[in-house]
Amino acid sequence: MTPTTTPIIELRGLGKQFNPPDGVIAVKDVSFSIMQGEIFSLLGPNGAGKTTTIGMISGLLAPTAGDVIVGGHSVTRESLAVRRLIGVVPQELALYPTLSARQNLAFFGKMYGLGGRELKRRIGEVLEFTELTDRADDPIEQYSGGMKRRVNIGIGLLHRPQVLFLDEPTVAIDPQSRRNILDAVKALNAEGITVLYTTHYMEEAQELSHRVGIIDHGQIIALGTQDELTRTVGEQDTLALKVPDATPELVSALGRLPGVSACVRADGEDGELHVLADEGRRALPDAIRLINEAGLSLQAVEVREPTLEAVFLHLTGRGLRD
Amino acid sequence: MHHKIIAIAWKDITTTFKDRDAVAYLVALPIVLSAIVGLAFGTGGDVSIDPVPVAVVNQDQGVTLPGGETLSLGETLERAFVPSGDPAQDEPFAAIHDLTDGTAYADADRAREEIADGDLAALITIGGADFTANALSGDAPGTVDILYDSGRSIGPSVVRSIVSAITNGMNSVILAQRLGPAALAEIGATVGADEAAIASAAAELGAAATSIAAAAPIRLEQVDLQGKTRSFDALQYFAPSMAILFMTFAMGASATAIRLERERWTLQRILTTPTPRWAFMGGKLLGMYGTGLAQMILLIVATTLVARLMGRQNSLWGTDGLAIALLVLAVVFAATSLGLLIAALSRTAEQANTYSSIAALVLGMLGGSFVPIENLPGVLSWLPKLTLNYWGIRGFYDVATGEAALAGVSTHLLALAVIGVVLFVASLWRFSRRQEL
Ligand SMILES: Nc1ncnc2c1ncn2[C@@H]1O[C@H](COP(=O)(O)OP(=O)(O)O)[C@@H](O)[C@H]1O
Ligand SMILES: [Mg+2]
Repeated sequence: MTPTTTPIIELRGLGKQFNPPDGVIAVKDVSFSIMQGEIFSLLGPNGAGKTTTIGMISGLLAPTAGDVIVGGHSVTRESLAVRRLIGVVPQELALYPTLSARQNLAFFGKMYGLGGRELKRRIGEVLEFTELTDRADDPIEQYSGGMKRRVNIGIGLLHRPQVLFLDEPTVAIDPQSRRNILDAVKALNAEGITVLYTTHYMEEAQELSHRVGIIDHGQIIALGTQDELTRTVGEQDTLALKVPDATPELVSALGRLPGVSACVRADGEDGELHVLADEGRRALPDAIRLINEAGLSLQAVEVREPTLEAVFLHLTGRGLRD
Repeated sequence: MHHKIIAIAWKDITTTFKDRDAVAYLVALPIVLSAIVGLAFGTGGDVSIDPVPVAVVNQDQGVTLPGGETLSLGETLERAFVPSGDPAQDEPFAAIHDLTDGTAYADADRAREEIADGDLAALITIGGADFTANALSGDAPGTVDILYDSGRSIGPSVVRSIVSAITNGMNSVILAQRLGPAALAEIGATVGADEAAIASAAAELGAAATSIAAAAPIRLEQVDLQGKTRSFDALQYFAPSMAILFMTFAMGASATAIRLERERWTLQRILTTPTPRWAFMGGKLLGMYGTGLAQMILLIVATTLVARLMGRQNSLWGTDGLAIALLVLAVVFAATSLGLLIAALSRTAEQANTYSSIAALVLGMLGGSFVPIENLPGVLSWLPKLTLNYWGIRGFYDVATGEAALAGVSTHLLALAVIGVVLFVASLWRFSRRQEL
């Protein structure tokens, strides 16, 4: 759906230090708003502070600085009111493995305060939506990774939340299940649910989000629509090179070429390298030379418009999965 | 909120009892072990025990016989428990000396203290300087006092049966000696006399015997520090022992499950729903308590049935339903608090698992779940009394033997309640100091 301009979540100078005063500062002075009806992605590498941020917004972790307002309620002072509005899908498969999908849904439905016929109806609808009706009464431990992920998401939908938090919901699953999940997120948003989605896959952020916040070392280093973000990269291009069996030495040599600001392996696709260059076409001959010298073969070349990954590379000099 | 608490508890209880491994381990195994004990010792047999520590205070001065010899019945009784070192004198009592470990005490007060401390099983006091004189004359009965701690299950009953066997023996000898001469004289004088004289002599003899028997020359008096004596029934002891031991194992599993909820993120997920932390803990506690209750009830019913099948006549757990029910409630409460404390003290599920296995085994050993513990040396003697196993086993055993009714196990119930409250408060304090649940 088209996002409104009414903020439903406002992070105000949010910070978290574990085991103060000497512990890890996982989140540092984070402020931004998420609008009603929006899909907002928090994109950042592992350890960037995504889970910690979601933990604070959902009232699980007490912030050591700042506050979050959800639907007009302060997370630190009116935690219960906030929890009625939100559905949280944790990064972990937070399920009881010996119980069936139906039993897991029933249990957590009761935790959301549902009961009786209403609960039964919602369980039916959620099972239908996650396409698990056929296997609903088998124990979760007999499910595939993708099915478990879908139960994990389904639980967060039971009470028809206004806002849904999805923390890396596609980690470690097959492409087909990932596709289903991304489509499901879009379908939920189309029904009017605001989504906060965290990921370290830039393709997902790119496909789903109205706006993206890039998080690194606990800080938001860039925030805006994709157009706004890619514009910050300026005139730089991404050279996509298909080099099967590329060595780490090759990757770092490519990153040091003149006019090149970084080189990383692309997510997912085997052997694809992304080179962020001031001018792709100019850097290409040097790149080909290096690949030949390494005794490897270049199977395809493509010059692409800047992506979110390029933005991250540009800002940090690292890939999202480094 | 109570719906959520009940939902959490019900989830835990059903999960445990649907898990076949858990049921095998927590219900089937203790039944099998109880049955094995039942087979090994029969129904109502004895187990071999360590020598029972006994003190003997002998105040008897004896009497000087016409021949100049001294006769002291007190001395004989003392020798039954305290070896003299002279093989000829000790030989008749060899069997008793194997069973008991007797020491002569001059000071009864010191012996009383040692019984209270658990160092001694019983004190036998052979009463008065003229014990032998009284016993022989029949003017006043000689008395033997047995003072013991009924917290012990076997020791005192061993002592009691030995003392009564010896005093009975002495009584019959004394009776025979006292009655014998008089009766013979009467009979002799009336030899060839008329039937009426014989009948009157016989009647006199009968009356004398009755009157003397009524005032037994040596009277055995038992003073129980707490209750009464009983004979030891292995199955009645081991059925509750196993039930309580495996119930503490179940509590350990529940403690591990609390930590697992955190590791699997199900706890965090619950806390993102409108469910406060205390409701989660309330649900877990109720679940632990319910699981423990269900387990105890299953075990009581099942061991009773198994004992029946094995041909046991008298009831295994006793007939005082109210006392049994209160003991079950109290012992499960204490064990629940123990589980909670383990959950509060451990960081990971693995740690909780290790801690709870150690706790269950150590408490089982100290509290007498494996072997009936009669006495630990010196300062260690109070250790068993800190365990819920000790009070639980003894409570059930007392009720089972029919020796104690509800009032008789009030100390046990109180001790279990105190243990439960102390552990509960300690775990709440510990949880409150944790940054995260
Ligand atoms: N409970 C915790 N105690 C201490 N440090 C933590 C804890 N949870 C996370 N961290 C640290 O905080 C940082 C951010 O972690 P996290 O929010 O999980 O990152 P992300 O979800 O983006 O991968 C990491 O350095 C992580 O090690
Ligand atoms: Mg994370």
